Amino acid sequence: MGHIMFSPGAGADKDRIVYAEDGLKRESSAPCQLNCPAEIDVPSYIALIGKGKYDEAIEQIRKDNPFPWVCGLVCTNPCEAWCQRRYLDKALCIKDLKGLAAKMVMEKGTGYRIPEPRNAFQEKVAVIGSGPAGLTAAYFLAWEGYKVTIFELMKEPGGLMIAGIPEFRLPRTIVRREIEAITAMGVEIATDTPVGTDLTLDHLRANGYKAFFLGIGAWQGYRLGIEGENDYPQVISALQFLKDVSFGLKIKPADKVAIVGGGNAAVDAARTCIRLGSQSVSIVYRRTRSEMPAHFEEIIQMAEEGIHVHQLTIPAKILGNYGKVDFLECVMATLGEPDPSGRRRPVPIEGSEYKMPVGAIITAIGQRPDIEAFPGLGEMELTKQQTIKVASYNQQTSLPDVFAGGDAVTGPATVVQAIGAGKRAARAIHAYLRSQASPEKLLPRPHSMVAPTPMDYREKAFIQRQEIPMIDLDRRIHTFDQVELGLDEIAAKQEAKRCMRCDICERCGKCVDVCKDKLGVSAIRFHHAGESSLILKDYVHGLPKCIGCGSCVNICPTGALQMIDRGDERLLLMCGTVINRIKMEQCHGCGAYYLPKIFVKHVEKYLEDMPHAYNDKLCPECRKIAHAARMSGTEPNYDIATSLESMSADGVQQHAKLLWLQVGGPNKT
Amino acid sequence: MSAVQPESETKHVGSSDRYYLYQDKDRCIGCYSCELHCKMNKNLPIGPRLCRIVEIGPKVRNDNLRADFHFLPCFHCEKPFCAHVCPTGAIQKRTKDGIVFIENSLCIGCKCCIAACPWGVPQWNPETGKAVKCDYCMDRVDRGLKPACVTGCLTQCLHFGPVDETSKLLRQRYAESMDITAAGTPGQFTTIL
Repeated sequence: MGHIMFSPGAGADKDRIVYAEDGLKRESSAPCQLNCPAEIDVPSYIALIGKGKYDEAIEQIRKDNPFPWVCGLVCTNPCEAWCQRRYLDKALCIKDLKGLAAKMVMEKGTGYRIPEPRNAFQEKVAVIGSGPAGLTAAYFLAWEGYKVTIFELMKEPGGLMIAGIPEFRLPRTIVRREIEAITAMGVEIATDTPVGTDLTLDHLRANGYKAFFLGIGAWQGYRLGIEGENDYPQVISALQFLKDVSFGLKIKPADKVAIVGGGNAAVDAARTCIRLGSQSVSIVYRRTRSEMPAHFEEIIQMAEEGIHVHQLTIPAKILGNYGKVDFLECVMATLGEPDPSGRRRPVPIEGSEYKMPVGAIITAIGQRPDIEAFPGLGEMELTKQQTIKVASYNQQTSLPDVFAGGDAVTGPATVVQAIGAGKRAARAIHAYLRSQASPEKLLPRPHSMVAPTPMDYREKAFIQRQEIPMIDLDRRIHTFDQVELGLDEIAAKQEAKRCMRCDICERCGKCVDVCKDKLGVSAIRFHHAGESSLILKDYVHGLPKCIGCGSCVNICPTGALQMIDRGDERLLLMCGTVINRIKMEQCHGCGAYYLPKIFVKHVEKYLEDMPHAYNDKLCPECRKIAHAARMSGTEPNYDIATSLESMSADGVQQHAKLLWLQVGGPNKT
Repeated sequence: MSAVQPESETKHVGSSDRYYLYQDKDRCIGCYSCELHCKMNKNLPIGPRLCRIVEIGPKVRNDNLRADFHFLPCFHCEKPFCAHVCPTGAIQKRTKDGIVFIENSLCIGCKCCIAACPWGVPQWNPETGKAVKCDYCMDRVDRGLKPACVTGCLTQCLHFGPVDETSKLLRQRYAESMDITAAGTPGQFTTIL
């Protein structure tokens, strides 16, 4: 059983790829999907965007991720890091394609389709914390048919999406609209309702809640642990600062601000300070810029906005007078031996202390969940880093009815990781409430394997990655307007064409094996892409050496390679892209196009020394007729080539087959 | 491409251990039983036809309206074109009896043999994605049976056996026909050889 559109070649190893009953692969082969924490079927929705079917694309995305628009703006796109296209030129703008689809549906279209619950279960589930993890868990549980209530400590749901990520990256209206789409499924959100202090999980259990999801995030900033840190009110943690700015207190911390740390929180805080009017914003980081954990796009944009990075600088002391910070004393460092995280450890250089004049210091050296502040959550097992310990893949804590996910489990991480955790937790909670075995780790599987957009190999090769337009730098550093403007429709169509469709082609290299090693032609060439993957690189030139025999199509186990004979032309297709056009030889007898011209030449070359005048351009059928006519001593009548079909064994066989089908027999001779 | 040389070229094999499939064209009525039996024996789908009846005519011969039914199996050439061009060595010539056959596991479906054979013998099997050709039903021959087409022939116009045996038969038949012609019933059994 195979896919309708991509059936394996006749000579392929049929057992190589496992297909499910719906005709789709049981396991996805697209690196983007395999590396997406939310397991979104990326190639399918990109193909749908390329066809302009934004509604269907969003439908695809929302099977795995209730926040297409948020992710379209702030996702750290691990998918792009794995995109196979980067071995040709550059990765696809996967993030921005998703953002465009969501924008088109929300602004020009009818809005998201609210899925109907699959069941109607009576069990109530409480989700504590309305960040991306909690909202995602609520979304999938509500979809499954549970009654979900979200308890949120702050005045607005959204977690870091509302209170953390600055508005110039993620406009709040977008978050609110996507949360609305979740509440429309019947999810209740109780804001200003902290759980864990007065209201405990036991209270909720008594009120009929059968399972809990903790998505409480990691809000407790690590302390620098240096002298003077606790003496000055101008030393603030990045998350507190970002939260204050988000909820209205848009006051610049000082004219000169130093931000300690190199993560996304540090960069966000620095860029916020610039927008609030700080004149000099510096990031103090103890390693070099290339080791900064922040997303590289953000680092580039930060540099454009005039934020200076003090690399290899360790803060040592905070100095001030009269309760006000004056200086941050720093030590220069050099990189030493790698530490357990694989990054080289900074080693201070003695005597290199210097004073940096600052008015405020924002610390962003990592956060951890604040479990101690919420004793009512129960006695859960914690990790060494004070995060909640969960069983992998089902997100279950040491308390059987409590599941956790998001930053509370991983420490400060990304929106999409939280979404993935929420999705896994929802699956596990469903299994738990239905008394099923907890789900195992499964590789994601494709949802539809949408037909690719037909195009020519040159088009595929020469479309460049689209530049994401940004607002003017002058405006950027003064306002909280969204910086990245995203793709427009035309750019998105072009961008979608660049997709290599790794969900269809498994990059197994069978075609190369047969063409190069067995046939000795070396027409189709794959190149190493990364450690264990291959990629077809011949989109630039087509396949100049191809003889059009079709062995590669014959052996392709995925149906990615296809061959279409169209009159005097044979098209060779790779995932919907025409990679070669071959002229066909016409039979001098019956007039049919039987084999490619270049292929006939290829065979003739090997028959030169054979004692036979090989110059008749006849199809195998007509050769038989010609031979028979020679034996009878008459002129061959090639017209019977076609009529022979109907009056021979094949005709009998066809007839017998029809009869068999009529009586319901097997479809066999 | 390294053309695989048939084994028979290196070792001289006498003609006596070769097989010959002889069709008595006078007896053939063009019923296509041979084709059908062949296909059923090899379990082939619609498309490939390993042996073939090609009808030429009808035309007037000896005042009778006659059609020629030419039975075209593989000729199992001494120097097979197909084996010469086969890039993987899937097409081989058996040393002991000269049968040219396709080793299925080696065939990659490149269709070189189909393009090379001057008589259009190798056929394409769309179900397996490999070439398929007449091998005189090798498995049957090894079991001491005759090829499926010969066994299934309704009029018994197909004869299969070692070359010397068949030539003996041919001679005998020719002599018989001479005799009958001499007896005054012309035409009916005249072999056109």
